[in-house]
Amino acid sequence: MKIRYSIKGLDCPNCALKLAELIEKQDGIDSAKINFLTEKLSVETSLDADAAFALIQKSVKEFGEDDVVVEK
Amino acid sequence: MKKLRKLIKNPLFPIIAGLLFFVPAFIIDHVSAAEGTPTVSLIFYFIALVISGGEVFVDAVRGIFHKKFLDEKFLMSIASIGAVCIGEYEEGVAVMIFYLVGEYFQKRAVEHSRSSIRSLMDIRPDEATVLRDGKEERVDADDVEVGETLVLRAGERVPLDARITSGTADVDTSALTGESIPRSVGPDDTLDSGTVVLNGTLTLLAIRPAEDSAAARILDLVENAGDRKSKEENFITKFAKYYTPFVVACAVLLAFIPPIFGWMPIIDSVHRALLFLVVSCPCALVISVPMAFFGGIGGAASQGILYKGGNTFSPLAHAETFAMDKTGTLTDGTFKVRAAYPVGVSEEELLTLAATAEFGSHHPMALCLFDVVKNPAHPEAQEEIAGKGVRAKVDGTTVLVGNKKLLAEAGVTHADLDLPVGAGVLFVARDGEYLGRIEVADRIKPEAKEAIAALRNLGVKKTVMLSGDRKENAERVGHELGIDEVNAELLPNQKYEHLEALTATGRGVAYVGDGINDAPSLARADIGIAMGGIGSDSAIEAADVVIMSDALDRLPAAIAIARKTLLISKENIVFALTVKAAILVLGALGLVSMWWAVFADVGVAIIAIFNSIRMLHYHPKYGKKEQ
Repeated sequence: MKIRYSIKGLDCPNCALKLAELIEKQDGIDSAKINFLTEKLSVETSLDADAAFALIQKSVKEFGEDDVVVEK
Repeated sequence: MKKLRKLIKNPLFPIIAGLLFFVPAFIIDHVSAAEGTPTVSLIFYFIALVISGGEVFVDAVRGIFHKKFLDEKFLMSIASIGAVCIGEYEEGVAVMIFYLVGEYFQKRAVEHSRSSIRSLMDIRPDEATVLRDGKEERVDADDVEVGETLVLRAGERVPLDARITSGTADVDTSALTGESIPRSVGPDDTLDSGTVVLNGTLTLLAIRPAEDSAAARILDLVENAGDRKSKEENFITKFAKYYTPFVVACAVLLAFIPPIFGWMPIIDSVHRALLFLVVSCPCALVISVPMAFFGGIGGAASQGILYKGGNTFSPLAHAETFAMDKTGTLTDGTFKVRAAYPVGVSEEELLTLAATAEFGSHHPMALCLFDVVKNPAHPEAQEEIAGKGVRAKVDGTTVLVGNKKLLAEAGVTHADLDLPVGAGVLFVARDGEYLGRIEVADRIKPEAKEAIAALRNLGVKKTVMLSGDRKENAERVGHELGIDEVNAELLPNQKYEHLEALTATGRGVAYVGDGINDAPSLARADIGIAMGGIGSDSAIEAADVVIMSDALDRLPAAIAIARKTLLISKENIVFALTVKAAILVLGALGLVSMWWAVFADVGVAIIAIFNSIRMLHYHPKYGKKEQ
């Protein structure tokens, strides 16, 4: 299943790449891509929407940038 | 208290406050005759560093706890603090302030381009006027249900795809198709969401919910286009991954190797190494390429050309063979009278009689008769015979207009009826007597010839027509347009086979079609281009590029945009890499100071952004459709 979120507050495109990598490492997330310019995160996952969102939130927290906000 | 916090949160605060302390420190330092840096300067430098760099330092330390060692902020902090540690106070503070200034402008530039695209794409109204229980109500466009009645007045945008039930108007579809000439519409015409009503009032029936309507689907395509990354983007992201560790490793070697061999004092070598840390930030590189594609995709979308991804630019730019469907692509699906071959009557008589018999018909082949015979008389009686033609009473005689079968069944005989011609010919008989035939042909789009010539000028080596139409007509169209190879009388699966054979030759093959029954060909080609709107799901799914209008001049325009986008992305890569390499070499030789490095770094990013934004306003023109 492909889910798309809006993601705001990223500092630079390189941070976007790194955060996407971090999200992709989570179990159950098959792929994660962040488009820095359109501020969109798209995730390919076998999990249900809530579980996937929780994992994304966890990754963002782990990433350690308070300004980053992910929304459905 | 709240105000103070807001002030500190302002991105300009650390820059301005930092400068307030940096500038006096700098002046005192340089005016003072004393050896070394005066104490006042030292204190001011220190305050400036803490104010400007405070947040960066904190983030850097937090980054370490989150295992981000080669993070931009970490590298900048080391460079800045490192410079201070070796006594280069002025440089250490300046690096931090310049870094913030650069970041600030870079953010502004990104925000600017984001909002440019957003305003280009502002095609969907949020509200709609619906008729509920006889009363007009303003509601959220998402809440309108299929089958509800919409009311639209001059100046308003169509909120969701709808069919006109009453009223006529001129509408502007330029936001969707890039076609600026207004179109006249009336009952039964369908309007895509995003279309603007220029005059008149329309009542419409909603036929698709807002989220499935044209405007929403266009926005979706444009926003998702970034997911399919181009080769260039993948290259630069991969490159960036190795770039930073590599440059940092070089910095470490540069700091310690020369002093070990006694080539230079460690203070100097560390100084030069710190510059490497500044240059090692990959952001300018990472933004340079996607930015170009972002600009290209956005700019093209405003002209009615939708690329489904960054990876579609290169195959389109380099396609050498263009295979094209005929009907609906090269011709516009309407017919015109090409020739009349009367027998025993005058040409005028033949045409007038046929037009009178066909009076009121909506059949495309009949319609073209009315272009030639302006106001045909009303027949006394008229009967349409489905799939064959029409039988009418004109001046007391029985007139037949239709295909061979119609006349044959009525017992009409003539040598003409044995001619090997089928579709595209109207045979006429009166009271059982053969009067002649009228040949009609589909009309070539007015801009088609110039568009094909433009393709050739752009370096396309071969144009091929794949048509289901009869050979004679296909060849005529092909000849008139200067198409290299014409394949006619093909069934849909044969079109596909032809295309497969073309792709087997290994050259880039593009297929252009309207997506009606040629979706497999669109998918099979190296680059599939669907023309004529966002209507058919299968076409959009299969195609790589969707052209919203049916104007062929968009085809060369799409190629030109793809090429220019690729060029800009290459310019950005080469520019960014060259500047970085130059600064590294000059820095290693001790010829430039660190703030130049910062300048170069963010300067490159900002120039790349502005270079890319040019794509938003790049409107190549190729024989604009006339009307």
